[in-house]
Amino acid sequence: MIRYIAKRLLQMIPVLISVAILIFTIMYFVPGDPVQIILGDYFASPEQIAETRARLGLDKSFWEQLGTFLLGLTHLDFGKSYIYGNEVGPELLYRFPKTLALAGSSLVLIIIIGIPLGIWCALNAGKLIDRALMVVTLLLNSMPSFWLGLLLIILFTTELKLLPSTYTNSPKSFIMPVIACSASVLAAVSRQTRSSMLEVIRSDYVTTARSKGLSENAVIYKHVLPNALVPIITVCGTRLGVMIGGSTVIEAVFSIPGIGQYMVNAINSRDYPVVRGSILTVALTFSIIMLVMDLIYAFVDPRIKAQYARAKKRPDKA
Amino acid sequence: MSETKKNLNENQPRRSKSEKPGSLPYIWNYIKHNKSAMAGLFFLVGLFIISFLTPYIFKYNYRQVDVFLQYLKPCAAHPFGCDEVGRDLLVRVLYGAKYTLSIGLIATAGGGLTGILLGAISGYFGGKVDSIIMRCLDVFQSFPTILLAIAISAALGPGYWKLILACGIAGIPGYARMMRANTLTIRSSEYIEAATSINCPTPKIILKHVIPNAISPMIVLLSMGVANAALVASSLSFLGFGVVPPTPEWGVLLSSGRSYILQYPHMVVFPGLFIMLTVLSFNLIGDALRDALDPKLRN
Repeated sequence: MIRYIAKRLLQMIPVLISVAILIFTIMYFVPGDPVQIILGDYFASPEQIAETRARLGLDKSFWEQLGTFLLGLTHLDFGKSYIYGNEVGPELLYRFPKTLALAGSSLVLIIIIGIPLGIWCALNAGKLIDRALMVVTLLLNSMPSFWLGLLLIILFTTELKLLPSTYTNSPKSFIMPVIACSASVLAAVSRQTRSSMLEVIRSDYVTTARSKGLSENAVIYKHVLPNALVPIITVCGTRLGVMIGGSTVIEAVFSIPGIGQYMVNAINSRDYPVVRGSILTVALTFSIIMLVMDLIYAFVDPRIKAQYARAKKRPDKA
Repeated sequence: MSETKKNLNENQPRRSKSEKPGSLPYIWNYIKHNKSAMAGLFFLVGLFIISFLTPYIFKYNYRQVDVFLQYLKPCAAHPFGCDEVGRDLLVRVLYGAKYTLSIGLIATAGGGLTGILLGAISGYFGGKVDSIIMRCLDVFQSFPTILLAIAISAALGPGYWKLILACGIAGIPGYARMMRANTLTIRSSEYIEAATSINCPTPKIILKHVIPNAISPMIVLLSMGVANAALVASSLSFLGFGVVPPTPEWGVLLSSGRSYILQYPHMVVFPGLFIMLTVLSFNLIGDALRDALDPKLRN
């Protein structure tokens, strides 16, 4: 198992290097000149432009710039922001916890509320409250998260004046962003939990467990739920990516100083080192989360665990 | 000899086309009876038709500026109100449906076709080709779809067709992976072996035998993909990439209305409502398609 984790971590390195090269190449072809944006169009003389270009290293060829960038990566130096001049690395370190708080709280909310809600709906399937909740989750599933965020701002900030609509130091400012970010995925997860559970409840081994006299709780939590978990984790995993991307938009709506907003502003002002650094950070985080998701699969389903551990333990052929 | 042949014909009554599971008439028959899917379909088709007929139905043009009507709240003459320069929002929202619907459909069609081809090639050939294609897709899938779309859209610049290209490219890895998995399942089938044994050229095998047989699970993925592409396109326009003002695309309407959210919330409510209804309709149709193609429900 440890070998599997180590192998996956090693596999991440060439992928991340390829991501770095890919992003560098994409940004190289973005129309627009950073030097013009820094100096402004009208007052810069050609000498100033040339000097700024040389200072930022933009007059070198594509391969030289790529080489400098990759070399800097090896000792975790993302370079300096073109616009603000500060180092990108420490700025990322400052902003990362805010994005992590947003995405992490959303994830926790989804797991704590979404899965139990799905289980409860599956157990009360067909009743009025279940049908009402299914309609609500259907609507929430299709709702764009930034629209929900704007609606929450209208309701809670403008009308009721309860919650702040931008980032402040108090945790109250995170309530609306987290709700907006997690609502759509929460709806999807509870729908998937419900349908997964309903499918498993019809299985033969559940009937066997019930006829053996097990209490309903034992049947549900020891037999139905573990078997129903695999598709739920799949949905969680795929939607997690959407949610991390969605947190970028939510950061734009609520003006939270996180990595997403940093990246979007940098793309708009052609601040390439910032864009590269932030996309690499997001790619690294995302890859680690996917790895954790795979490990959770192995934890939940013993068959998958056996697959991962298979390489180590081969039965000796006598 | 002829007696046995006659017996065979009698034992198998002819099935009408709409009873054969997995075929197009069967799927259409199934969807016809699903009320929510039909509601979604009516909404989408109606929206699409109305978005082209706005000049003939409504008095106001989507570009008609009237400074005296700035920020007008919803009333009888303007059911959705007016935006910051006095353009009627109802007409703008209905006209903007054109963009979201077409971007979703074209981006998914293009991305889907490319993904299906890539997945089929990757799954059929296996070995080095498979490894290379999968490693490339790994790189593209190592960060969220929206961020990939943002990066591509930033590189291409703003514009309608560039947005479609960005959304299409961002969706390719998902389709390719699923198609590859399906291809691997049918790779060792007998009809493929038969086709290779009669020297059928490889492109023909892939196009005529692999793809039609592996495509059933893709239909559901594609329909969900349209909803997703529409959502990604709106998000990109909201952030400022993709389509830009004054094009009345829904994401653009939301981002311009956002500045006035404190005093004039109606500018934000209606475009978002339509995004939600459109995505909902695509999702309902996708759910019905999934139920129609579910192998467990086939007898």
